[in-house]
Amino acid sequence: MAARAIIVRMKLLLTEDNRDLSAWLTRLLNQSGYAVEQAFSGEEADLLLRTQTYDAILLDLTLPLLSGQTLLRRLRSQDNGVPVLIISAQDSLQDIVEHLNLGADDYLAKPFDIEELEARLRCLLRRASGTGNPISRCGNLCYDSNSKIFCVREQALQLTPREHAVLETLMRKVGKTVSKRDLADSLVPLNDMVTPKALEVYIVRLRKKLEGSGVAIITLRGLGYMLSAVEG
Amino acid sequence: MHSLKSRLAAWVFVPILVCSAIDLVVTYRSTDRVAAEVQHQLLKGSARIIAEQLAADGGASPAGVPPAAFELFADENQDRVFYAVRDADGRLIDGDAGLAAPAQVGRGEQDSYFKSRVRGQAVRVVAYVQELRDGGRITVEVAQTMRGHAALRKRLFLITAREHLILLAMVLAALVVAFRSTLRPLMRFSERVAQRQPGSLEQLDADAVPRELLPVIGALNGYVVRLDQTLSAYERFVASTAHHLRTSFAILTSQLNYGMRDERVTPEQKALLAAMQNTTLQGAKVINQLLILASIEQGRQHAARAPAAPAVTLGEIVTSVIEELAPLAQRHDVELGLDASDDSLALPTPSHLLREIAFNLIDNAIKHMDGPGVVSVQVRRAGEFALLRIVDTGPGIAPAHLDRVFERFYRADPGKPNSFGLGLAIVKEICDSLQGEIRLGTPEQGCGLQVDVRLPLAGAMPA
Repeated sequence: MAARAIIVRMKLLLTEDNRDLSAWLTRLLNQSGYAVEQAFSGEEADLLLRTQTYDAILLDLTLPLLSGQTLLRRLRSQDNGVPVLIISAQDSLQDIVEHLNLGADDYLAKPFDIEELEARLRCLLRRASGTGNPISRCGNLCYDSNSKIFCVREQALQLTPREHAVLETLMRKVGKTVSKRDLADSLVPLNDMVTPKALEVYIVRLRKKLEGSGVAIITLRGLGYMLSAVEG
Repeated sequence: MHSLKSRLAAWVFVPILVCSAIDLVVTYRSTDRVAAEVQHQLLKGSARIIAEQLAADGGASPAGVPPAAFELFADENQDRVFYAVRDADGRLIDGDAGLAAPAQVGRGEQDSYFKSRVRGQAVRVVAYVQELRDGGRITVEVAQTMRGHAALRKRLFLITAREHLILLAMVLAALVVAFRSTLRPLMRFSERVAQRQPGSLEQLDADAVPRELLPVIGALNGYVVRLDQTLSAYERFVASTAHHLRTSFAILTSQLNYGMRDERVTPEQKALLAAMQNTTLQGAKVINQLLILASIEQGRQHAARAPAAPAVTLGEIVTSVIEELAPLAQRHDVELGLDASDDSLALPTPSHLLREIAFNLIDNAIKHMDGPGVVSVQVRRAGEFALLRIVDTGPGIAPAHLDRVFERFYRADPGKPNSFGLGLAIVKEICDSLQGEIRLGTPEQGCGLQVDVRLPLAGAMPA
């Protein structure tokens, strides 16, 4: 529940024509500490946007009176850079690409889990704040890029400099594979020529230290290593 | 089934053949008559010479038959000639007794002709009656075998037959030319129709097409317009159904989320809510799968209209699918790997369809593994095709199920949870729509399952 603690109350505009869904999402987001204003049509959202400023907009695409696409286009043509997360029930990859091109910052297809929505939202807000949140997360693993400390459930992880370099490289690309070559390159600043064998040793040690953290370093044969949250 | 060509050929050719045959029969008869007439003239000439000689000698012929009478017949056919002289009562005075007497004898200076046989040979006979000065009458018969007659008849007939053959050949040549030039627009039109993409909603243009085909093109285009309208209505229906279902599921999910966050919820209730949420997600997954199935057919139509798909390589798509499924593989204790990847394989096909193929197949391979195992993926070029091969070390598919695994909602193991039997059906239908193929087999090491998907590199749509 630590993730829900938000120091500054963020203000969101939820543009969703389905009143039920809007009500339930508002409740959930309120619970998590966001201030939410609801708009049920594109027109309404447009009016609110003329007078109010928001930290982020959750935008449904199929809106009465003024479609989500038009609203988005209007917003961007006015140089309004507010982060927009599209939540839509129209789901085809073609659409997604199109909307991201139109200036949306992210896309989430209905139905979605609130945890997923909030994770994307946090990401958007962090990006928008410019300075960047120094804390990145994966499962129960946290990394503070200012203090350069890895934590599992608020407990600092004891790592050798080489293990630290490897894990930092993996952490920067959570959910994506990092080739062995790139991992080896991350160790070059430590003035170290790394053989694949040695790299495997670091990975094995890291795995041991990450046991029970809900995070795993997965080997993908032919591709490399990948840091990923796993259940348990 | 009948072809225009064979019909036209039959209607032109058969009557000509029949006419030709009738004409040949008629010609044969007339040549026979002409040849007979020629023979008659010879026989008559010969008989007259003999008769006149006899008349001059007063009936008897001490000097015998004049040689001039037979010189007439000299030719290359080596016909045999017989003669006989009879008195008024039909008694043989001179000549060949083997020659039959005429049935009926006319008056003086008259000739009559008949056919007979002399010693087994067919002959034509002239009986020429000569009045004598003493008032008596003799009949001179001259007979010739039929060889000369047959030869002449044959020569005459062959000339006519040759003319007929030349005529037939000319008609045939004219027909071929006519077919080529008249039917070519029709053939070109049917080729154009055949080359169209299945399900293409393109209009056929009516330029450079013979007038006779315009109604056909009009009807086809009208049909295409109506089909397009029907499909658009269907598409709208699917889209709005999808929208409503997804919205309902979204509400349900947020309600469950809300319930689970309530601190008063007991662990048992929480477990129940989690199970409900899982069911909701499964339901959403089925909706998505059904929508994909519905969109494949629509995709065929759009493929022709849509601009070139973004150039994402198959390797990139497969890599991202592997990354996405890595946590699942980890949970199932399955080692997942990309053994070979040709990064140059970019297919001009919508990338979400390629993703769908890779995702369903790799997801299946991981989930159907009983216990720890290995799933290996390869992306390679195979001739004109891109080959996606997925090999696993699982239990494979029993031969009894092989034929049916591509059917919608078919499940080889109905006890398996969270499976609706749509994954392989989707893969199969996408492959079909891209004019690719999918094959299931056993890997080289003899156990597990190997799935080969081949997709044309040139893409399923015309360039």
